[in-house]
Amino acid sequence: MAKKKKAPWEGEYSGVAAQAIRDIFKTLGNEYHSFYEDVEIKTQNDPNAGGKMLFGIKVLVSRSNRNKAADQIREDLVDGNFDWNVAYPGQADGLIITRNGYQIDCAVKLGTDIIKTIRIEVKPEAGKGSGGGADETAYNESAQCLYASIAFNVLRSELSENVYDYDDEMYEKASKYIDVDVDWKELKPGEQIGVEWRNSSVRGANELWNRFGTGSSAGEYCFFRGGGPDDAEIKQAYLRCKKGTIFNSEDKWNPADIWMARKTELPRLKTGLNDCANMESLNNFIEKEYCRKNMMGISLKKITNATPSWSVKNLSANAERKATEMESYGFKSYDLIFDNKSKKSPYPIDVYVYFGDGAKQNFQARNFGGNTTASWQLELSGVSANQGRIGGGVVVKVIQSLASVKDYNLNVNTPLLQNIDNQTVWSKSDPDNKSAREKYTNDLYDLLDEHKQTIKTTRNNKSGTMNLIAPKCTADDTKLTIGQQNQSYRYSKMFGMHLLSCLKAQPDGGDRIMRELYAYASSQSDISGVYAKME
Amino acid sequence: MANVTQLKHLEHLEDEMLNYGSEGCAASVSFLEELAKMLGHKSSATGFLQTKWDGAPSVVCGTDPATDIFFVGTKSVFNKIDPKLCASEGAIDRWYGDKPNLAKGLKFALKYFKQLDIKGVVQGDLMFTDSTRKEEIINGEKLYTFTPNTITYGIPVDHPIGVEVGQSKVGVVFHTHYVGDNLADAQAKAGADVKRFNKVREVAVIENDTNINDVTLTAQEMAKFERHINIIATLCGNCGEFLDNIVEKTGTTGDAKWHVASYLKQFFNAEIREGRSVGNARLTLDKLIEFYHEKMKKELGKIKTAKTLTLKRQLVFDSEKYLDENIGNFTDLMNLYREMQITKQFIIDKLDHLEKFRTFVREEKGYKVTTPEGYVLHQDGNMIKLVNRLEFSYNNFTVSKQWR
Repeated sequence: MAKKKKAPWEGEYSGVAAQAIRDIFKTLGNEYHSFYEDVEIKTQNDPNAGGKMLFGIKVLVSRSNRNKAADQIREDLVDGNFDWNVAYPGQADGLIITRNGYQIDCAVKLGTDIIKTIRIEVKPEAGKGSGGGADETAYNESAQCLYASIAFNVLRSELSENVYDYDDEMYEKASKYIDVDVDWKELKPGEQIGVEWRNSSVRGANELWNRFGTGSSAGEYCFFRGGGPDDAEIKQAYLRCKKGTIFNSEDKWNPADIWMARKTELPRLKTGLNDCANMESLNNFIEKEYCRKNMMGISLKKITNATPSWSVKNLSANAERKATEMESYGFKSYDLIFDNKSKKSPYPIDVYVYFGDGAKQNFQARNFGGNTTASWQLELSGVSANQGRIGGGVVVKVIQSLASVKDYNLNVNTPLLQNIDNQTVWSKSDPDNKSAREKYTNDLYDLLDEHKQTIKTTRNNKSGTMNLIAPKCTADDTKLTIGQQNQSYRYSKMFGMHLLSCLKAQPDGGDRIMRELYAYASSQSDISGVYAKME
Repeated sequence: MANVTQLKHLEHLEDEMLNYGSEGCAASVSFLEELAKMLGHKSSATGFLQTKWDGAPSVVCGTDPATDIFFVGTKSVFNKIDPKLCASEGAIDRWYGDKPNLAKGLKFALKYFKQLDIKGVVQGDLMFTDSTRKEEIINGEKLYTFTPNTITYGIPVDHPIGVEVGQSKVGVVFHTHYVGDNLADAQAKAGADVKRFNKVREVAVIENDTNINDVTLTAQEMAKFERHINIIATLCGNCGEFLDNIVEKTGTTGDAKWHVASYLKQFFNAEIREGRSVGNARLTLDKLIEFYHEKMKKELGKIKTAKTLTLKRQLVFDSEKYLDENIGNFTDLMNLYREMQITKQFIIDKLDHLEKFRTFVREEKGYKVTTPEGYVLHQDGNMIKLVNRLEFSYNNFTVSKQWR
């Protein structure tokens, strides 16, 4: 029979050391960290022994998430503001959490003059991604920078898809205008870039050339990805300005994968970014420079059509159009299935909530943490996972932000908005939690029963009732089924029901909430920055 | 040795050496030694015996630890994906509507077992319902009879158990209980604490503990039994290496499929079907060779290409060579197998006298007296079955099933 697993370090540490380790694991387990593949303990040292290191943790992520994970971990540890966390002696800027590449150190004060380190190393999981340290995304996005630079700074014209390769001198010259986080030599044909992405980069370069390379705006442009202002001034400005906002991820503010900037304007642009003190000033600056074609952030997808699609998001000039588009969205309907009759996986853990009438205009709401982690999130359909997800905590924040909207009477009298604690729900959802499981099963059943009715019937003319109780069966049969489900199901379905309850409890039937969630997930919130989407 | 999480297939004492080689053989000796302690009423004995009942269908029921709801079902309640627990007749129809007899049994269980107030989860075999129970006179004795599977059980109508059976709507033998905080991880444990169940007129709960304390062996009988165990232990020592070799060569795919080792259990089962026990070891070995030849002839006949045929013929040739080279070892194995059967039967004969129920098999001209199905010996969480295979297995293979 399953027993509660004790963490392997428990019993080895006590007092501040144990608290610090516990806090760190709790931070690593929050809903923003669902992209972890695994977390392993690497080092366990006696707190009373000599040496600086107290505890080592290895966080395994896919290569494409390594940087994001390191950023996120550092940010959340700083936000944790833990009592045990102090500055390292002699650290010039008094940093309590330091990051060196993919290694994050936390200083733990164990006693007077005893400061030890808990180190978190973010490692790529074996077998995931490609390349000897850089991920596929990094290569592909960097390739776009290189090919654009060839068009803008070498050939000063469109590129031909039929020209497979260029002279080394041309690559070298183009490389002087790019700042990327991979070796540009690996971006040449036959190295790390596949044919599809190479063609995509050529098409993207031509699109950029036609939009910014000709006419009055013509000039030398530099391109950045994980380097230059992208990794410095822009990132710093975001981190500085996001305080007090709902953002928990830079992507939600601005999902640009690469940035291009006029070379002659670079010093001024950097200074301007450094001067931005809040989100409003930052967004104004980004928009102004975009309109003047001095600095543009571009969100990339693989371009498969000869003519790429180009759209600019979050421009003030488009506000009315955006508002009209948003107005057409709302809480249209939802798909809630109890038993899908599948043999392999008959009881889906998710619920789909629709913001539009289209078949793909929805969020899938479910736990993304497998059966080990509490990570309930919304994922925007049809968009790649990393861009389109919102963690449960942020979902609540986005909804709560409506409380301050004048013409909207947010009804907070619903469990999702009543200080719901992710870990508490996770713990209660555990089928081995003897004191909570029976009530939890009954509560979940009641909520499923409450929401089994499809509320609106506009989408695909669908209507009807979810079959919560099989024909001729009883509520007890369904409760038995719920009782046998794993923790992830019970946790995920409960949060899904809370979301539905929250939406239905609102005076407008949840329309405004759905619009806000969509805007946030698609990086089009009122405080998201201007960017172009090229795909 | 079956050490079970959920109750599955139990093995015969004498088959353990074919399943696990020398280790299995040693385990059989250990089981027999435990039996010797139990029969000698030694305080060091930790094992216990249960009577095997030939019931059907098998029912798992009780209170689901996760929801506190009473349910019934089959072993499918333990499924990792989509466990099938039934709290209503509708659910029984949903899962088992295509198996009417099973569904009928489960509906009886649902209707009546709930009243037993079963704490936890138990497993048992249904023996009868009021529609399958009969009143018959057999050999001049008025009995309540029921035939859930192969064996017909009878109990005198005026016996206290008979009275209980006669009043009830359903009869059941609970033989296993499960421990664990949830069904998915529950572990099977022998026995069920039926004495703590509510007494319900509609349910005849038949106890299955075999009271070995009621068996009395004379000093000579005890000595004989221990002598048999010593012989088995010695033969196990002699055959150990060969048994391990046999286990290594056994399999259902690849080259193993063509080796004689893979046909030993099949051969013994076939002999039982024919009503034959291992007598003269050398003669039995000849029959094994014949059995193997027949099997291979059939298998080789299915092969279509000359190349494959040549390869497989070579494997059969190698196996025959192996037989020739190991005539002595095979003879020892036959002797060991026979010795185990004799020793086991010695105990079974003693235990059969304890049973209150009459046991019969149906024949064309009426009933023939038979022995109970057998017994399960439990030792330190391991289980082994002691069955008069010649009797029961013969019946099982030949008498048609009424309820499965």
